[in-house]
Amino acid sequence: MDQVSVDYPSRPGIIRNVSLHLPAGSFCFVTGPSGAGKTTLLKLMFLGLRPTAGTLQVFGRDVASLSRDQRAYVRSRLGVVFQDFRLIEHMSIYDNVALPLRLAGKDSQGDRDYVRELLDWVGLGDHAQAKPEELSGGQKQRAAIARAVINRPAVLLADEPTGNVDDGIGLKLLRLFEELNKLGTTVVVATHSESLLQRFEYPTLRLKQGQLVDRAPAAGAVAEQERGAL
Amino acid sequence: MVFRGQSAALMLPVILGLMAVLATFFALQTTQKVFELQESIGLANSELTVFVPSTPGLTPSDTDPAVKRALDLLHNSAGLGRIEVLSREATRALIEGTLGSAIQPHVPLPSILSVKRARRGDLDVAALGVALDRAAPGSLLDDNAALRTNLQAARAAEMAKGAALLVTVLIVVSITAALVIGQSVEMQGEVIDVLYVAGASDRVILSQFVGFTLRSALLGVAVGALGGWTLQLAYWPRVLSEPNTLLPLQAPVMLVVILLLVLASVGSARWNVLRKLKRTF
Ligand SMILES: Nc1ncnc2c1ncn2[C@@H]1O[C@H](COP(=O)(O)OP(=O)(O)OP(=O)(O)O)[C@@H](O)[C@H]1O
Ligand SMILES: [Mg+2]
Repeated sequence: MDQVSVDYPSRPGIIRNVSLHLPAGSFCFVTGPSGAGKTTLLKLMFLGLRPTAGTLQVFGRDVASLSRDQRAYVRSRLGVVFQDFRLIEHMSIYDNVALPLRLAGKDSQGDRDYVRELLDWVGLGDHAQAKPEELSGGQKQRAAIARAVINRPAVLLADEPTGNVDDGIGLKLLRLFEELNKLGTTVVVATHSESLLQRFEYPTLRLKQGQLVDRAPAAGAVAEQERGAL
Repeated sequence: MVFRGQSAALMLPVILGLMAVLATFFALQTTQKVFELQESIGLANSELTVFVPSTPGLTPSDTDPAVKRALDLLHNSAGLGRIEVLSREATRALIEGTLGSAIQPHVPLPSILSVKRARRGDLDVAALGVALDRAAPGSLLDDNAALRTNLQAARAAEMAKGAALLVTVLIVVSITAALVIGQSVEMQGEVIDVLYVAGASDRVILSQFVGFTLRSALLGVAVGALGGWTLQLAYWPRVLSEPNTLLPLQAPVMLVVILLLVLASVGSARWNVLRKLKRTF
């Protein structure tokens, strides 16, 4: 990201002149007070929002130059956990989690077994046929995470993935992200939780009113002037 | 189906069905009128009328020699069929009907001969007229040219009116489908985000909406067309007594109407969905 800004017609300056580079395979946190623009920053990263100014590169390519189909392809290599989960209400948990696989045309017996396995792993094995409304907030969150990682994304963007679960499960989820990270997935986690930030020694991007204000000690991998992959 | 539970969109088959009732009814009304005009044109084409002025000084019981000469000529002309001399009463009725007032009893009536044209065979109407005038001076040959022109103009007007009504309904259908499906796209914004993020292309999302529109349209339009046909049947029960002639006439009209309605709704819905998707990044 190079000097990226986002304005809404009603509210200018949601993101202001943010420059950052996330090397492939890195792990970082995004933090800041409510309304600072964390969700908006992630939205930029999953091409859910067009920067009003500045350039945005993903996988080494300027997104402005990509066709809509190419952007769809870029998105298919991302996994996103929404702050509000966004599970599709009339579909079962199984179908929600399997959605990215189906969209990629993967529906073999092996793929189905893999969905079951992942549901078991996040502790939702018994709820595969339940509808999202029958689940607790924490269970929905785990379903949303399972959906985000099912297609083995190159980049995982998670918005408050531990906001609705107790610390134990929160830690377990972060460990899952670490596992994925070790397998090469770039991970970005937006969070309020200071305890998480303290427990995990990863670079932290601090946002305040749309600006990057501070870099945590381990932020060496995230240099403001660098222009690179993301 | 990834998108579901949109009450507005569920109204789509109902709205399209009602439009299909109207479109089918109008189109079949036009078909009926054009068919009936066509029958009249055919009749006008197949008949000639010959007026022979009465020879002065004959008593009613005498055979008019002018009429006899005209009949001889007609019988010997190629391309003609049955020839009929109208009775006095029929003649009086026809002339009064044309002139619109009672004829004085002492005014001599012309004789009127009604002549069928043969199905096949060329007939030179102008030459026949000249020959008739020679055989029975002052006689007139009417080949219904004026009537035919009127009927043909009426037929063209009916077709234009029918086409205009159909186009109007198609426009309404297009706008309705585009609005309803557009509304549903707006309401499904979050699900669309999820699909995009899960790697769906525009084509995948579009196909969901187009598929829904197509199913709605097929269902609504098929039922509506049947309703429109039934309604029109009340105006034209003749279809039931002559199904072999009239059903093959109505079927293609209905098929075209159904096809146009489905195409209009799916096409406009597709256009509007794509337009809205293009607004997303
Ligand atoms: N579609 C929108 N139109 C106008 N303003 C918006 C829109 N979306 C977000 N905003 C504004 O942008 C700012 C940043 O929002 P964002 O959701 O990125 O914050 P956040 O850091 O994720 O907050 P939280 O921790 O509460 O989730 C907020 O002030 C919000 O009101
Ligand atoms: Mg947020």
